Amino acid sequence: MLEAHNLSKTFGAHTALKNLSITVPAGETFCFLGANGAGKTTTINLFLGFLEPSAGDARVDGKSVKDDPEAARAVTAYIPEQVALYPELTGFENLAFFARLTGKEVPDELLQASLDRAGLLREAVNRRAATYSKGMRQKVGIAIALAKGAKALLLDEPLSGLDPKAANEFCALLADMRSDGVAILMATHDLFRAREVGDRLGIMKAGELVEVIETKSVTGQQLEEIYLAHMHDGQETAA
Amino acid sequence: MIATTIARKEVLLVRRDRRFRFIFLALLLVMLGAVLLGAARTDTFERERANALAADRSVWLDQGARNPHSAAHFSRYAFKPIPVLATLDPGSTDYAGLAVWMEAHSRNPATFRYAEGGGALSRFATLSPAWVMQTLTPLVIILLLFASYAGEREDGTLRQLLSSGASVGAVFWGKLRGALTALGWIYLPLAVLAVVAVTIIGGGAAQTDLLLRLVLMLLSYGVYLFAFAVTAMGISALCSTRRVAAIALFTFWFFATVLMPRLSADVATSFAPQPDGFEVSNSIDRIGSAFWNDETVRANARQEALDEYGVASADELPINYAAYELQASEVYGDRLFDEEYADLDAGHAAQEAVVDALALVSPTIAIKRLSAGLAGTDRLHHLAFLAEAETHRRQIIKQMNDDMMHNAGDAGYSYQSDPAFWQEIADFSGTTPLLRAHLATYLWPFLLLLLWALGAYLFARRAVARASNLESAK
Repeated sequence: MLEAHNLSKTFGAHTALKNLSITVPAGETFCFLGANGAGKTTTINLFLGFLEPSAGDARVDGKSVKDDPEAARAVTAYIPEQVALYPELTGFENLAFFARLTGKEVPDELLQASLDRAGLLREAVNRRAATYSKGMRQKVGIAIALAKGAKALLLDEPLSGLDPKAANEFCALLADMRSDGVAILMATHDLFRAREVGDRLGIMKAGELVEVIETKSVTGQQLEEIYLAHMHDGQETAA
Repeated sequence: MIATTIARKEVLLVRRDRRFRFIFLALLLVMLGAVLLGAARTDTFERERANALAADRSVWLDQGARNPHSAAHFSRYAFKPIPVLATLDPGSTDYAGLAVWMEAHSRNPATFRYAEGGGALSRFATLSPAWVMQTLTPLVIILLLFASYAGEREDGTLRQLLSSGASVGAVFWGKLRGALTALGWIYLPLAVLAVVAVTIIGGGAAQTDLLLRLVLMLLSYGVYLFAFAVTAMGISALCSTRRVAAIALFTFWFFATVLMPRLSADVATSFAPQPDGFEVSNSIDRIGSAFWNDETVRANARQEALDEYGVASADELPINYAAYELQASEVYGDRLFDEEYADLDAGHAAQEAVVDALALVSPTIAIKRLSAGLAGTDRLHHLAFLAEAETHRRQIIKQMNDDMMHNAGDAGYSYQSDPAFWQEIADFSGTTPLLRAHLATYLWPFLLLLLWALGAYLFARRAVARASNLESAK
């Protein structure tokens, strides 16, 4: 479970995130939508302990990120837009390395099973990561989450730059993980994909969560209208 | 466990990088070349010393019947023994002089500096194992570690690494262990090469002093290279990209290993200027003739002789007075020489103190002092040779003065010693001082090295913690 209670972050005079309170229970996918600078990535960084909150608290599986960041990270997996792997190591070696950073002994069989489930072809497993496409890197990222038994998955624009086939495969993997009881928080610009994978959608604007929508309650057209209305709201007022 | 996982990954990355295989091999070959060159130099020195000693002895013994004072001016040479560890670190061997002419009335400085006569080839010969360890190996360490953190930050793997649950401490220890393992790959073959070379040159003689020197030398270089390794990690952690880290570390390397050691000698000379060779030579001449130019001193010496033998005039003395006066002039000169050389030594010690202080800004200065000291090729060991040569000079000049004093009678300077007498004049056989007696001298540079290693470790720890603060690791 992912929880944010009045979570805020300021950089000097600029407020990047203001009083965010959300709960993403196990087995749910919550997607943040918003323009650049809306506070999506800041929220993910606060959940990862990459940033110290100015106020409030972020929790992963009940563990306070601020008080015990390592314990929180041990049950969290993170997939950025570009999964960073060591180019000189193979996909399998990268997976083994990152999965074992929690301090748990992860057997090779589980690592291979994770790669299989993530859909990385066997012939690619022992190739150096330098030769991997973005889609293959994302699959290794998912395999890391599977192998370490992550209870929460944080994704920051993971679909950006993926071809439609790879994006479809990736979304299917996310659905798979959700059904395993993983709490998923994804930041994205892609309304179509957000509606496809998300159970709930949160629209962010200027550091604030301005609306939360149940995905099933809106069509794609309606979602786009709601989103654009929020994006244009301030501009019309100013005009 | 996490640190071990990170260390294994670091080692694997180094092993996978073909550039490092090439660099390690190149370093090993340069070290091998330096050891062979050092061994050849030590062997040449020893052969030349043995030849010179044999020639000097032969000329001395074959001089025939001669007045002993004339022989004392003709005299003999003290040739400096070259320690086995000069193979690894020649220190000041090329510049300090290899022989002392043990002449009557004159405490001569050491002459025959190898650097003066070596020509272009001798300049190449400064490629020594010590130089490889002091200058080249830190450069290899920098090549190995400059991307340690900066590269991870640039590639985004640092963020991935830290988001996986590894603590800052585990990341630091893992990377340090990885770096030390790679450092071990560099250091151990070089150390083994050095030990094998010394064992072969030393004829397999496992002398306690030699072993102590070698062990401390290897320990000191270990501390020195550790300081460089953690400094490289720390600087890499503070830099945002590989390029910036490489520039920062090469600047540090140039400053610490090339610029500061050279600059320290110039700074020391400016702070504590010393008389040049011409001035020293003039002082030696002045002291040598001081007794003969001072009538009061000569009169006092005459009175002492009369009192000692209980006679009223020099004619009544049972000895040759000219020889007595020669010995009195030696004793008088010895005191003045001691004062003159004490002043010179104090000046050199002041220069060394300046250099020691500058070791605070460069660990290379500290290791240079320490390494040459442990090899027995520094100023302290040269002074020990000079002191031993001077003791021998005083002894053999007295032997010759005594011969003339007791055997010349009225013949005075016409007296000629029996050729057999020359065999009673012993050859000079210098000894290398035992390290145990001088350990305190090397405590300061060793403590400085430890201070550098500790400071570099704390700096790296802090820099890594800062780099792992993810507000700066984005």
